[in-house]
Parts: sequence; structure tokens; C-alpha cells
Amino acid sequence: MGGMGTTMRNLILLMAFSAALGVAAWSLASATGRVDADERVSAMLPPPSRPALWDPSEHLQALSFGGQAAIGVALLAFAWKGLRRRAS
Amino acid sequence: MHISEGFLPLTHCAAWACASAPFLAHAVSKLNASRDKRYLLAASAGYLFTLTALKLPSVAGSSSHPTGVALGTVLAGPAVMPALSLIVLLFQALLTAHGGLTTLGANVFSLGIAGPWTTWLLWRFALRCGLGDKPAIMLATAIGSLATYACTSLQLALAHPDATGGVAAAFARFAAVFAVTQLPVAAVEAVFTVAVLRALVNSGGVRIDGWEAWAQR
Repeated sequence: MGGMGTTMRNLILLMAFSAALGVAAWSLASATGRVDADERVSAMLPPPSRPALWDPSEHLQALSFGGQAAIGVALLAFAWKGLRRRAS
Repeated sequence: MHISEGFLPLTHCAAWACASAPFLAHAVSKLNASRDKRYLLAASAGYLFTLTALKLPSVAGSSSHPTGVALGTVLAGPAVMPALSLIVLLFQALLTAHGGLTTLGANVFSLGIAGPWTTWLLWRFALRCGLGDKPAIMLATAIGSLATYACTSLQLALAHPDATGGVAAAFARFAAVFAVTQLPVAAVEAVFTVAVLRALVNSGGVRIDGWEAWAQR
């Protein structure tokens, strides 16, 4: 089980690193003026036919992106604990 | 691949929701029957949550994110992916302004159904054709990622056909924008997914059909 535990711990560390990398990549994407592909395609369409049912603020969006990555890491931590317990 | 609020007519939203509904119902029943796989499902969901949060700079002045569905597709099967995708897409629609509530059915269809099933079918087909485990999963992951965006292009083309070329011309226009951005991202995702799966298989804690031979090499 040591191998599995080590692997999952490494995966969680990798995911945490990826999340940090994602923040950096996102900042880089914004800083270099890159436009999200979804937004680029949306710009080719007619304006939205109706307003968004729910439009979170920019601040909440930024927090939520970090929260999403954190949830991902937490789920991996849960999987790691569970797999280690089950194997032992 | 997120279609935002207001970019699909309500009739299309309803049609895509109806198309996704049976897959979602099946996914929920599979989740309930897969309690022994809950840790693998948690790992799949964690991977999906993390990767779809990563907006990566790409070529041609665009940025995009990996789809993250390949790991769950291989570990738990494509049937459960609509449910996992729904959770992620709902989170993003409510909190990150990516996608929308009325377009949820369409987005679940592209991320949770088109992508995973393409990945799974291609992976199994490639293995059957004698392609090695590593290139098979890399190919399936990359094409599955592109298939997600192709599905989105089709959904948008059906809603907004070109005035002269119709649905086909509109599809080509949207897919061209997505393809240029997504190709490098899909390649990175393929390598990353194989690395994660390889680590899991080689650790001995996870068994995947057709992967034992590769793990022993």
C-alpha cells in the first residue's frame, strides 16, 4: 500500500502544483491579451437573446476558479485516504 | 466548450436537455451501483474539477482549458461521466460565469457524453487494432477533447446556420476557431492524462482492462 499511498500523495501534490500553474497560466493568458476561445466564438454570434439568469461578479468568479481547483485537490485527497484505508 | 446563456434558442436548450436526460439518469444509477468505486470516482471528479479550472494560453492569441474527462472515462467508464460533468458545469455556471443554466443540457452533452464516449470508443478500438496502451490512450484523450469542441461547434451551428452555407459552413467556421486553440491543449492533456494513469496503474492500486501488459513493461 505504500506505493499506492505515495502515488496518490504525489498526485495530490501534482494537482496542487497544477492549480498554482493554472493561476499563473491564466494570469499569463490575460497579461498577453489572449482571448478565451469560447469568448472568441461567442463574438462571432448574434448578441445573446436574453440576459443571464445568474451573473456572478468578477471578484466571485476569480475566487470561484481558485475554489474549483481546491475542490479538485480535496476530492483527490479524499480518494487517496480512501484507497489507502481500503488497501490496508 | 461552454455555451453561455442566451446563445441558444430555448427550443434548442430544451432539445439538448432532453437528449442528455437519459444519459444523466443512467449515470446516476451507475453511480449508485458503483459505491465500491467511490474513491476512483472521487479521483475522476477531482481531476475533472482541477483541469477544467486551468485556462491555458494557446496559439493564435487564444486561451482554452483541457476537458479532463479521459481519466474518469478510463477509470470508471463513460457512462458515469454525464453526472460528474453536470456537477462541474453547474458549479461553473453558478460561480464562474462559464456556461449557463439554460444551456446546461447542451454543455453536458458535449463535455459529459460526446467527449467521454469518443474517448472510450477510440481507446477500445485502438487497443483492438493493436496500438500500444500508451499511444492508444493518448490518441483517445486528444481526439476526445477535440470531439467535445466539435460537438459544441455543431450545437452552435444548428442554432446559428450560415446565411449562405447553412449548418455545414457555420460548423466549419466555429470548429476552425476551436481547433486552432484546442490542438496544443489537447496534446498537453493527452500526455498529462497518460502520466497520471501510468502512475496509478504502476502503483498496483488501480487495475484497468488492457493496461496490465503496459504496466509490466
